[in-house]
Formats: sequence, C-alpha cells, structure tokens
Amino acid sequence: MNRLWRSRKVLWFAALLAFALVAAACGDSDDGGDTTAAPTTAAAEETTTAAPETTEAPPETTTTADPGKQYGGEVVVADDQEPPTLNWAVPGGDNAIVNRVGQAYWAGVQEIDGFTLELIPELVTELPTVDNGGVTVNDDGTMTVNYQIRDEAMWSDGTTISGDDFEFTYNIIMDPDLATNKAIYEDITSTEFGPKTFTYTLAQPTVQYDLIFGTIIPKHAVEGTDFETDWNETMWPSAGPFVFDSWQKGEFIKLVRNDNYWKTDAETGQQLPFLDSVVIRFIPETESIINAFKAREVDVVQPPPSTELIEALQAVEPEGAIVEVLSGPVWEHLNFQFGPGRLEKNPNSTNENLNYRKGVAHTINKDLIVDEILAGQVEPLTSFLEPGNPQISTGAWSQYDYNVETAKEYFEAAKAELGVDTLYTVFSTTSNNDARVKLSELFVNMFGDVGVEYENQLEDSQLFFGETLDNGLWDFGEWAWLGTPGFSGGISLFDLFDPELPPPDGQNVYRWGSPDSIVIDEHTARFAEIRDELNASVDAEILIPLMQEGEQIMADQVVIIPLYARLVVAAVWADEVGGYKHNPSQASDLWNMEEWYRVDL
Amino acid sequence: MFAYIIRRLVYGVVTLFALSLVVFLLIQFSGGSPLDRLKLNPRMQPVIAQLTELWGLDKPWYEQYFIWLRNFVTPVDVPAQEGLIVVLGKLGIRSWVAIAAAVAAVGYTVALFFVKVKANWWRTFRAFSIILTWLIAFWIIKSRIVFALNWGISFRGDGPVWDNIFGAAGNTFRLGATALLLALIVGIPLGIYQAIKQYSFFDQLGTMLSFITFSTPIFIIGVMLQLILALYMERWTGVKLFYVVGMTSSGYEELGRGLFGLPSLAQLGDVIQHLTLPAISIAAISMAGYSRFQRASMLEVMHSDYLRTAKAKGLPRRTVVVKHALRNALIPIVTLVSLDVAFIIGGAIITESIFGWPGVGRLYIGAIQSIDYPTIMAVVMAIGAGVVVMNIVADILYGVLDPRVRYD
Amino acid sequence: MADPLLNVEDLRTYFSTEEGVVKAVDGVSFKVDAGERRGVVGESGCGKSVTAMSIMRLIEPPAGEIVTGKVEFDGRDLLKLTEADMQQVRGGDIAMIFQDPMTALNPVYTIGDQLIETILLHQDVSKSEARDIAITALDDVQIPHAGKVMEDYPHQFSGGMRQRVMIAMGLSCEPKLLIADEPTTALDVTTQAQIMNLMLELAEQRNTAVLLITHDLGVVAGFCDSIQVMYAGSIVERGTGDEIFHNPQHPYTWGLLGSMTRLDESQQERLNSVRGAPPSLINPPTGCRFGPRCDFAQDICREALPILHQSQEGQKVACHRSDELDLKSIAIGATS
Repeated sequence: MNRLWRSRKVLWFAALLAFALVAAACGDSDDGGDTTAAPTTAAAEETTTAAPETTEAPPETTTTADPGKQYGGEVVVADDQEPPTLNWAVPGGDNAIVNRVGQAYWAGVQEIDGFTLELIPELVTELPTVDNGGVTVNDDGTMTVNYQIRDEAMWSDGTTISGDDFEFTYNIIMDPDLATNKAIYEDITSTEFGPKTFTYTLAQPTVQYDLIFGTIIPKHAVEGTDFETDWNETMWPSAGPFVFDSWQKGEFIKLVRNDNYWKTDAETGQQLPFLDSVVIRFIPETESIINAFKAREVDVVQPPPSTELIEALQAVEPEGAIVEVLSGPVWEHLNFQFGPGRLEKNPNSTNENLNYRKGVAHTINKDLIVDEILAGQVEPLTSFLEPGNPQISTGAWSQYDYNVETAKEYFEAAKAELGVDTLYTVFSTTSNNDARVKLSELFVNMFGDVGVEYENQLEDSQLFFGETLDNGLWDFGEWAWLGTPGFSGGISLFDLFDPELPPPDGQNVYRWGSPDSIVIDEHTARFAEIRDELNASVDAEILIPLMQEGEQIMADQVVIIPLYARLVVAAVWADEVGGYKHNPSQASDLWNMEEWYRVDL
Repeated sequence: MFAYIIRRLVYGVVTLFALSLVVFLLIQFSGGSPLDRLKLNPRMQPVIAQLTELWGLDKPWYEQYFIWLRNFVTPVDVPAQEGLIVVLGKLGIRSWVAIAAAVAAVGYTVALFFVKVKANWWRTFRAFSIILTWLIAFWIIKSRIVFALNWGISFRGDGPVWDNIFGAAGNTFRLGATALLLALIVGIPLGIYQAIKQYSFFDQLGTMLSFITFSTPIFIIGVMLQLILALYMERWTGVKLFYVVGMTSSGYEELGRGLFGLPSLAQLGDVIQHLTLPAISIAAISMAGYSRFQRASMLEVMHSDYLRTAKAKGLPRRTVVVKHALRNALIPIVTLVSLDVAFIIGGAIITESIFGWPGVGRLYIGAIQSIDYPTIMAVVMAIGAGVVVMNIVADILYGVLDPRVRYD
Repeated sequence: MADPLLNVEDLRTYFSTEEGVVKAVDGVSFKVDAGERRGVVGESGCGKSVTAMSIMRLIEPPAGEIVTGKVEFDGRDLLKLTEADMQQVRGGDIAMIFQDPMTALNPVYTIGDQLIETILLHQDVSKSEARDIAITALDDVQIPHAGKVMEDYPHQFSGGMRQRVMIAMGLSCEPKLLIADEPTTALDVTTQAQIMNLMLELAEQRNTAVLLITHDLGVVAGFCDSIQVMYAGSIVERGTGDEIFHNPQHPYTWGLLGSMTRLDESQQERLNSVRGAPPSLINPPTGCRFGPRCDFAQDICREALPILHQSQEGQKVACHRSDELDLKSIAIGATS
C-alpha cells in the first residue's frame, strides 16, 4: 500500500514536470514561427567613417544637455501598435507604426526636422528647389528635378548608396503587380540614375515631388528576392542608425547599432549612434504602457493621449521623467454636407445658407471644447494649414468668436432668408471615440443656447468612415485629417475640397461645389482655380499667397470649422535617456534616435 | 465508445460549419470593409481597386464564403524538398523525432486501452496521461513537420494566417495551461479544505475572497496585479520580481541555452517572472469558481450515505476523505474544467492585451480592429474546434471517472 | 448471568440547530446479550437511528454531540476509546448496514474493492487472502458468481443484491454485533423477506448479536428475541416479542400495533394510526411525552415524566397508568 502510494506520487510529479517543461519550451519552438532574424548579409566590415557633415545637422538642444555622451546601452520604446509587416511597399506597410520603427533603418531623400518640423535633406546633399537650381521648369511645361547623393551615404553592409538604389526603388513602386501607392511617381516621364546622382522629369510642375523617394530600397540585397513575401518579417540592410536584429512577434522588435552609419554627432564629431540597441516593445493596453513606464521596463512612451493618462505620467516627473504634450498633426474639424445625402439625416437641413453656417461658427465654444476634451493643454485651431504648415497659416477662422448673440442674429437672418421658423441641425460622428461623444454632448447645450433644434446621430466608426462618408450621408459632421508638412502637404489639403473632385474619383466628400452640390457659386469656382494653380507651380512666392487665399475662402464661406489638433504625448526617463526630442509628426519621437544616449552609463 | 466519439466528432464538424457561416455573415453584414482605412488617403484609389480584386471583396458574400471554406480545409502545397519523405532521409533527427512522437502517442493510447489494470488510480492516471501524451506529441509534430492549411493571407499584411495562429498558439497555450494548472492546484484543494472545515473561519474567508474575485472584471485584476506585484513590490523591496509586460526580456537569448536546447535556468527564471502575473489574472476567476464548485461538490459527497458506510467500516478519516470522498467529488469538476477552456481563452484575449503577451488573443483583437476576416475566421474556428474537442474529452473523462456513465 | 455484550447507560445525544438543542436521544439505557436479536421500533425521528449512530460514534461534532452516557461493549466503554481504537471497533467488532442500499455503496469503486478494503482493515491477511474471504462472504449471502461480481460496480446490482453485499461486507469480519438500520425499508416485500431470512440465518450461524432498527413492527415480529419501543428520544417499553405483540403495556405500543398492516385481517377493517404528530424534541411537552397524543392521558401524565419500570406483566414500561389500563382487552387501536 505504501509503495503504491509513493510510486503514484512519483508518476504525478513526473507528469507535472513534463507538462511544465513543454509549456515553457513550446513558445520557443525553433520552427521559425516566432523569431525572425535578419538574413546574414555578406560581411563587409570596413568601417569607412565619413567626414563630419556639420552644416546639415540640426542644432543640438536636447532634453538633457549633458556633453558626456557615452557609447553603449539599450533603450526600450513602447508602442500600442505592432507592425503587421516591416515592408512599407506591401499592404499593411502604410501603417504609422511601420514608419515609426522604420526610423531606425530607413532613409530617403528627406526627413522631418523634429525641432522646426520642416523637411531637411537626408541621403542627398540638399533638397532641390527652383532657387538652388535643383528644380527646373522646362519650356515644354515639364519639370526636371536633380538630386546629389551624399558621398558618405552607405548601407549597413558597407555597400555605397548609389543611384541604382533609387532606380530600383522607383521600379518597385511602379511594378503593376504590387499594390503600391503610385501617385506622383506615375507622372514621371523620364528618369536618369547615375552613381551619385539621379534626375527625373515630371509631366507638369508640382511641389508634390518633395514627398517621393522618402525610403530607399537597397538593390544589391533585395534584387532577386520575392519582394512581396521575403521582407515582411525581416529587413534589408539599413541606411539608418540601427540594423534590424530580431522580431519576437507580438512582443518586441530589437534593433542593434549600425556600425557603418554615416552620420556623426554635430557637437562632438562622434560617430552615431550612441546606443548599442533599441527595443520597441508592443503593448496594446494604454494602462499597461503607463505601468511598464512607471516600472522602468520601458524608457520611452508615446501613448494615445487622454487627460487621465497625461496626469498619470506627470505624476512620475519628480522621479526623473519628462512628459511632453504637443499639438499633433491630426486635426479635428466640423463640416457641412452640401450634397443630397444631407437630407437623409436631416430633411430640414439648411446647410446651403451662409448665415446659418456663420451662426453655427459663432455657436461653437472652442475654448470650452479644448478645456473639456484636452484638459486645456493646447489652443484651439483657427486654421487648417496650421497642423502641417504653421509658417503659412493666417488663422482665417479667428473672425468667428464664441458669441451667442451674434449667432442668434445670423440664425434670425437665415430664417428670414429661408422663410422658416425653426432651424434644425443633425450632428453625426463616430460613437466609439470618447472625445467625439463628449463633443456631441457639449453641442447639445451650445445649440440649445442659440435656439436651434439639435440632434445627435452618432455612428460606429466602421459605418461612419465607410458608407456615410462615401455617400455624403450626414448633415453636420466631425472627424479628423492628418496634416503633412511641406508645400505638398499643404496643397494636398486643397484636393479634399476640390469642387472638381467629388467621390468616387476624388476626396471632396463634402460635395462643396461639386455637380450635385446645393452650393455652386463664384467662391467654389475660384477655389477650384486655386487648386489647379497650386498643382501647376513650384514657386513659393506663388504658392503661399494662393494657399492663404484658398484658406480665406474656406473660412469666409464656413465650409468647415477647424476645431483642435489632437495631442501627442510622450514621456521619457530623462535620468536614463539623453538626446531625446519629442516630435509630433509621423516620424514620431524616434526621428533622432541616432542621437539618443544613456545618461546613466 | 469509439462509435460515440465518432458521432460526437461528426456533430462537432457540423457545429463548426454552422459557426463559420454565422461568423462569416456577421463580419460581412456588420458594416465596414478592411479597405476603409485606405479610403481616407486620396492617393490610394488604385491600391484599393487592386486589393479588392485580389481579396475577392467584389464577389457576392456566398461566393466569398465558399472560396474561404474550400481554402480553409485545403493543405498548402509544400515544396517537395521540404516534404516529409525527403526530409527524413536528409535531416534525420528533426523528422524522426516527429515520427517517434506520433508513434509513441498512438502506441501509448492503444496499449493503455488493451492493458487490463484493476487499480482505480490507474484508470484516472490513464485518462489524463493520454491527453497529456497527445498534447505533447502534437506540439512536437507541429514543430517538426512542414504542414499548413490554406487559411489565407491576413488583410493586415502580416502574412499567412496559419503561421500567425500557430506562432501565437504556443504562447497562448503556455499562458492558458499555466493558468489552468494554477487554478486547479489552488482552487480544488481550497474547495476541499473549505468543505472539510465547513463554517470555520478559513471557510468563511475563502468564501468571501472567492466572491470578491469572482465579481471582479479580469481587466481590473490584471492591472491591480501589475501595480501591486510588479510596480509597488519593486519599489518597496528594490527587487524586480515580476514584469509588467511581455513574455520574455529582450535579452532572453543572451541568457544562454541549457542542455539539449532546452531553456537554461536563467531563461526559465525570466519566463516565470513574465508568466506569473498574466497567469494569475486568468486563473483568479477560474480559481474562485473551482473552489466554490469543489466545496459544494465535496460537501454533497461528505453527507452521502456511502461516506457514512465508509466510516462505519472503520476506515480512518484520511482514507474516507481521500479515497472515498475525493474521487466522487472530483467527477463533476472534470466537466467544469473542460468547458472552462473556452473561458480561459476568453480571459487570455483580454489578459494578453494587458500584459503584452504575444498570443492568439492579441492576434484576434488586432484582426477585429482591421476587419481582417481570414484571421478572425481562423481564430474563431480554432477556438471552436478546441471547445468541441474539449467537450468530447470531458465526456470521455467523465466516463473514465464515473463507472456509472456508459456511452453507446 | 454473564456480562451483556452491549450495555448502554443513560445515553444522551443532542444536536444543536438554529432553533435550539434537539434532544434526539435523551437518556436511553439497554443491554444486548451475545447472540441476542434485539429490535428497536419507533416512528421516524424517535431517536432509534441516532442511538445506533451514537453506539458507533458516528455522530459528527459540532452539529451533534453525545452529552453523557456510557456505551460498554465487551467490557470497554466505547465513548472513552481513542479514535484509532474506535476505528478497529467499527466494522470489526460492530458492523452496521444501512437503510438505502442504492446509495450506501460507493459508486466509483467495485464491490470487490469495497469488500477487500474492509477485510484488510480488520484482519491481518494478504491481499489475495482478503479476496478469498470476500468471495466467501459473497457466497454466504447467496450472490451467484461471487468471483466474477467482485469486478462489478454497485450500479450493476439490484437493490436486494446490494443489500446482500452490504450484509456480506458487514459480516465479513465476523463482528459480534450487527446494527441493521432499516435494512429492508427501501426494498420490495418479497425481497424484504429474503433479506430478513438471510440475516436471521447468518446471525444464528455466527452467533452474532443483531440490533435491528425499524419502524415496521412486522419486520421485527419473526426476527427478534426482544423488542424495545422508542418514543421521542427515550425507550417507552421493552420486552420479549410475545409480550410486546400480545400484551402491550404502553398506549404508544398499543397504537403502533394498531397501525400495523396485517395480512391475516380482513381488508375492510380500517387501518388505524396514532393520532397527532411526534412532539418537538427541542421543547418536549411536560410530563409524559406521549401525553398529548395519548387517549388515556390524565393529569398525572401531564405533570410527571414516567420512568421505565417493571410492569406487572413482566416487560418494562414507562407509563403512569400501565397497571390500571388493560390495553389487551380494548380492541387494538380503537379509541375509547
């Protein structure tokens, strides 16, 4: 009896142990399912350090201005999203997080300066403009753009970056079998790629060229591979400060120092980067991002912003963290539907009446909205150029202050013109965004104060951004656009309201001045002209006044009402990481990760 | 018995078929398209057209469904040189291990069914050991043989769904199995002890804690664990016991492998530091449930006539409890545990997001956010199949534990 | 006269409930001699099963507790034994079989398992010897194919067969006393007779004393040497079978006999029962506990508790009026 009992115990323990081992080991199965390591590239270990290029680098003002920058160490960055693929040129590659991680190993013609938010040259010596002779408008109406590639620019495997790589990238983008974004590239009529130069000609003058060749693919490493399938889980040789090391799917991507990085530190002349490795950890839950930051498991976080979150992060500032709250590139706006779809939501819609629209503009208390939704961290928007091109913006919407009396006067005028007794507004936006739900609640009082019959009809975002936007099925709406820096970014905004480009061909979902619009007048005609002129010029002297005029028309006609730019929050343990500078653009705070260094080494 | 299992399997397949149709329809008619994200970019029009055709989104839903269904059960062509036979000759050990595992599992199962052993504990052990053997064998085979069904390519752009699911399933299994084990090891003895010491202070305390745990949402449990056991514990003691997020440290591989490529002690430690908190947060609710259930079941048995008989026979109290009460009191909980697998997977979906655990749950949430229906379907079907299988396992176990149950 | 096998003296077993203390057994004394077959009769809840459980010390604290008393068995006071010694007594010296054979056997172990377990516990034998003993025990209770049914589970047996198994289990260790608590209540009438005959036969063969607990006077009629009648936690009458059946001295016994089904009487005759319901054991009525239900009760009955005393007729009875009443002459069960 005793022996039996003992042997049974042994058996159970054996079974439990086996079970525990399998449980511990099965995640590590070496079938390549979880781990993806970089392909071992041909070892070209000559470190040909380039001459310092001090003139190009931005001035060094960092979170902690400690001159003693040590090499080595690791920084862990948290993100709530995980890249579906690492390859930017396949479906899924357009996700913001793919680009964020890409800051480590991608390079192209230009990058965004995190301090000025302007485009600066990256792999080329300077960005071509008409002034510096890089851009030529030809007599036949075409435009030629010339680039000079930096001599020192090289891939992490030691291969020099040459015109071949730009040509290869161009061919990939234009491959008809690939679902790549071919805009602008398809307007290229001829190309010429030299060893350290490349030139292309566009069919008509446009500033949109400043958006292309943003990420270059190395020909020597990618040629001959299956581009669509081979580069989803690993990365080609790096042109940035770090090299892709491994990707634990669902957990983190590890990046290690690129010993062949061509950039040097502007102050000290030290070769960049300082860090040995950077780990980007994917944590879906915001709450957990904050907890991991507090526990110092991650050093840098850029979580989705909310008031509670900002407060939670600021609470650890005394312990050595720095929290930066900025206006981001994503801007929210109110808008009116001018197509027939408005009647679906509101049969009594009076969107066509300018006095009604002006009345609405005076009804909205933007300060209250910013206070309630963003805890008053930023100022409300008075311009739609502001988020991407602050230097151009004129604040055209500042003419509409929050004033119940003015609003009522406009509404009375509107009623008189329309011959109605009551004005009706039906508001639609997405129901699964807390800030927008709060906004809709604030509106109830604001419209109540001015005596407009107001109703909320919120929808699930899938419906709202699908059928509703496509078919213009709203009366008074609200959502956000992403602002892009540079003239091209500013000009692309004009496409959104181009009377000549309603869906399905274009993006004018507002149907302002489109053929089925209820508002077609001299303003819509002029706006269409401006849009065309903007797309036919590359001269800043012409472009800036045109954009400002266009914005003024939008404001005077109250086509939309810009509300506020969403916050972007970032926090860093400044007692651990130096050289960090938060950046509200799409490049994210990783834009200068080559200059990060460990303070505590 | 075999006829019964076959019949249950056939029902299971029909259930899964119906499930697939319902889920597919739900995705189809819940509005939105996987390409909506691209629509707000004015330059994506040609890309959208191209992807619509590639993914067959322009076809009527029933056609899409049948294409999906056909693919779902079709194996992916494996290049000949990676096929089983050639690999056997070429690589040896990897594939032989798989073959050996399969043969061992089949052999063990068959042997156990033919060996006549009378000891009662052996019957119990046999049932559990067969399940365990098949789990181990399956994982060995899966990691050694190239085999995949055409579950499609994810719309998010993260590659073949089959690979994603099996890449993540191991991690979910690690988490879920640990949680289940934890819930059993703590919950069942707790319930038994409470029943034996009915109305004692310990019993009352256990009951109160069980109800509190049971009524706390898993999200709150997870975050509380992060705060208390990871964050504050480190602040108070200065020792990092547990991690807030992740499954391994980024320096995991540098910790060095142990013998035979198994994890080294340092790696095992790292795994435990990461595994503990998410496992507890999944296990907590099950633990509370099991202890309540086990307590009730044990109390019922403790008051049964046959227990009085056992005492009247002069059996020591220990034997009465361990041999006569426990065996009977454990029978109902077998069903509960088997069905709890679905609950544990549900818990894993939330817990994985909280703890940044790279499992199926995270995959699923990501897929839902981007209306990636090949992945949604595959996850739903995989979980559905798991539940069907666990139901059958529950029935079989029930039959093994309780001689009164017979299946015809 | 030799010492009795079992000597119970002033046994009191109380249960604490939310309503108060239930005096389930309240001062019971009796003796059972070796080989004697004693019937304990009474309504449900009169304390007869609790008496048996108390003898076996199967009353579980904290709910139930033996407050005072002495249970001498073979010269040892069982109430003073250690738990380990008591375990040797249970199943070894005193065996017990229960009312519902359907639930009294553990459903997940084979008959063989449960028999062998008992034998190994009380006899110093090897496993295979225990198996042989078990098979013999099954043979003794006339279960066919004893060797084969050892591997069967309880659910494969009928009720009668299970009770045979229980008897086999009880007698397998050759106990000196077998307590049978309503052994045939859950069985049909023909099976009842078979089981009773079997018990009679086996007990006689082994000279085993039997304490037969039942609410059914018919069962004890042909079986027991002596009978004690219990009411509300105490014994109200004790005597030989003849005395009890043919010359009841206590009105309760007299009433019980009236409610007995008798196959030899005409079907037309109305079946009588004792009127009213058993008293509360928490707050028993003052005086004679049977008083409120008794057709012959007088003032004294409501004032003083009668004690068990020798009656003129020979048996012991606890009734103030037993000597003046001539219950035999009153038609049984008829009310005056």
